[in-house]
Amino acid sequence: MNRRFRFPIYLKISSAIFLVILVVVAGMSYVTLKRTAHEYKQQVQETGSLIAGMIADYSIEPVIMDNYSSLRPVLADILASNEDVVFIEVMDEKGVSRVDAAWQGGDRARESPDDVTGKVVEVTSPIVAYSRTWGHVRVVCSLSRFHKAVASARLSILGIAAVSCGLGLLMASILSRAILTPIRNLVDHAHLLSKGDLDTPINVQSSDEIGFLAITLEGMRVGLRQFLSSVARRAMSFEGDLHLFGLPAVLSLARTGGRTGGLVLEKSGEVGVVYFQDGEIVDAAFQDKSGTNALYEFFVWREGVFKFSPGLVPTRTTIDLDWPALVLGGARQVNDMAVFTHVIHSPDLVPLSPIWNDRIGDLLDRSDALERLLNAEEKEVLSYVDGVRSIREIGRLKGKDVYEIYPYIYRLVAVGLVQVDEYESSQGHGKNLVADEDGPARQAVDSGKVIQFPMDRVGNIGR
Amino acid sequence: MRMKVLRTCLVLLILGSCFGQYATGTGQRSLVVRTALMEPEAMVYARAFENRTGIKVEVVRQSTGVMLSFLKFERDSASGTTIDVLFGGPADAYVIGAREGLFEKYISPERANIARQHMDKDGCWSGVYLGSIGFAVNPNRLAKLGLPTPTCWADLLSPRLRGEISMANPVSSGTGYTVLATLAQMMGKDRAIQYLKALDSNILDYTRSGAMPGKLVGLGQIAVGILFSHDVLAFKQQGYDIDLVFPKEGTGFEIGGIAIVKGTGRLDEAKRFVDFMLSAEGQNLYAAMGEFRLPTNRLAAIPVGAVPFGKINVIEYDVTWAAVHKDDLLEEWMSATGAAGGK
Repeated sequence: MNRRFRFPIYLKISSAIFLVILVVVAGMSYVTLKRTAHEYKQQVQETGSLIAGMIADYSIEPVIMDNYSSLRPVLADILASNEDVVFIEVMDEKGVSRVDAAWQGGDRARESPDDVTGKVVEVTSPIVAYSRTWGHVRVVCSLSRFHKAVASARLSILGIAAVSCGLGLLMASILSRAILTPIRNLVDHAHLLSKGDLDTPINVQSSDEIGFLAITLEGMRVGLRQFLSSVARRAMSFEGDLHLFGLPAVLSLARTGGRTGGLVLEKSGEVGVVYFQDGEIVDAAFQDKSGTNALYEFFVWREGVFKFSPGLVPTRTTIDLDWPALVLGGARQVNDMAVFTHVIHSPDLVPLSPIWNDRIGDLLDRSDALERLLNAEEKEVLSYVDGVRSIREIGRLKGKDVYEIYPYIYRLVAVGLVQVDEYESSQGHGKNLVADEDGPARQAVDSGKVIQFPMDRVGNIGR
Repeated sequence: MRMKVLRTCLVLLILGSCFGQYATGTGQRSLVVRTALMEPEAMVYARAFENRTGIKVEVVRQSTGVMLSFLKFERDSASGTTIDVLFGGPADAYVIGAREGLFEKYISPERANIARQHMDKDGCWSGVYLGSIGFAVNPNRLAKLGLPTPTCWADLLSPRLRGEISMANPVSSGTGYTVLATLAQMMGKDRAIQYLKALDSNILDYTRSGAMPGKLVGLGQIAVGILFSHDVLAFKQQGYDIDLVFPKEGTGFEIGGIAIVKGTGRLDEAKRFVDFMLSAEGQNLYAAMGEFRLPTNRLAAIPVGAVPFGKINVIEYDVTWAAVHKDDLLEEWMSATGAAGGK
């Protein structure tokens, strides 16, 4: 099976959902990080301000008394005890640095002020006492520790995102595969069904909706198989009701299949057989009659049942007529209005010539031979068939009662030279079915008003 | 054979680098001096010593009480001391330090020129200068307040001087404790505490630094400061609007001490610094740089303008008594005034 790769819808949906979640989580993480960074910076600034303020308070006396050296150990202690502070400076009132302490590196993960350019927060606090500013304290706090933490957090987020991406796609792939595999199996089975394979069971193990669909499809397969078995069995047995089909149609059906065997006909306890050899009638038997005499007896039956039996192999040949002559001969035996009206429902129907009906067009080649079989009356009636005139009008032209025309029309219909249209002449007679298939005539055929018997039901006699 | 020579060279190289490192490390370390003197003044002495000996000195200024507390802290810590010499500040702190074994005993040859009562007989500390307690007054501020110049301790209790007096905190400052001990020795402990309690209502600020009240007076922030006279004279010389008054009832004094911290890694250099500051050469620097400390070396010059003890009413200040009763006095003073580290 030619299966082109397609990105499964489930994979698309799960990927889309996953991407949305990823974007949302990444966005939230980014915003949180940004906010944390801002708050951390503020916190560092506040801490720096606090430290600067404390140093400024402590520095009042040393600065006033020029005892800056006494601040050195204090600054060193503050520097050592606060990891974020990298530089402290005490300036006099002229802004000249008098004492400072800078982190020189060492065992702690801190950087010297030179290394943290652009990554620091600077805070300055004035040294105010006795209504005078004596100097300033400048505290430089490094953000490098925070930047490292942020970088680490960012790396963690990216790592988690990458792992999540991989896991998400893997999950999506597994999920879509789990869903798509049984669907593909069902599609394969549907293809097999469409090709007529009703023997391969649909075996999809799933307890979800897919399983339900598989069970339904399997039920359909089994049902189809049973139905076709029944149809086949009936087709093989070839049996039915004469009232429905009519003898000419039944004979034509048996002939079309090129069958060999006996068509058993039964009516009111009377049984007869018509023997076929390769689709041709070679013998018939009814009561004490045989040959065409027996065959023509069956034509006048209004009702009865038939069944084809391949076991009844013909043992003799009593009939040697070609098919049209045989059917025409049989039809001439019928003089029962009930049989006629079974085919011709109304005198207002319009008989159609095969000239206008391509479904029996292949008879045209042999029309001359068929017409030679017809008698003068039959030929005359056939000549009036123009696709416009109704049976009633044909009867008027012939100067006969319309019901007297019925036998001729029946015979012509039986051999396939005429079809009977049901719509009346007053409603647009003369419509050419071939020329205008979408016209009323075609609509009449489609609506079932055109009498199809015998040709439509039994196929082409000439084949 | 070749390998043996190589190995020997390698060992020598390692040993050489070790010695080199040790020598470098020792050479780079300065002599650390903690001083109660004002930093600019102490730096002059340090630079003079450096010029004379080539020994680098690192000076850190701290109040006497803080210095002593730091020494005790370092003694108790495992890392040892980071201070080599203690310089300046009243001797009662040195007496306490000697009793607690914080100092190296060193009998300097310069002690021959120093009065016996101005040094520890065991050599734990020696006196490098003398200074009496006095009042620093701002005449303009007093005039504005319409107050006469206080001439005795009792004058300081005037209600009109409320918030106009400052003195050093006896807890952190040697100067402050000298005032407390002086009053206790003059009036008796109980009366002294009562007096200081009464004085407390006039005190604007107890400063950490002993000289700070003098500067506040000089700046006109307050009218009266209680501090050592040599500091008052120094501010006056610097141009501040300040006068020195000695209380009539009498006043105490300090023996500015010097001592080598026990456990110092630079004992020889420390001894040389002590020798220098006890010498006439060293103490002549007081006069040379316009300071008004009285030298303890009888061979040193008395600075012009300095007030010798003979010209004022100086009590027989007992340094040892002051040291012995320091804790009690401080406790009573704190409970009387409610002050711990200053107002």
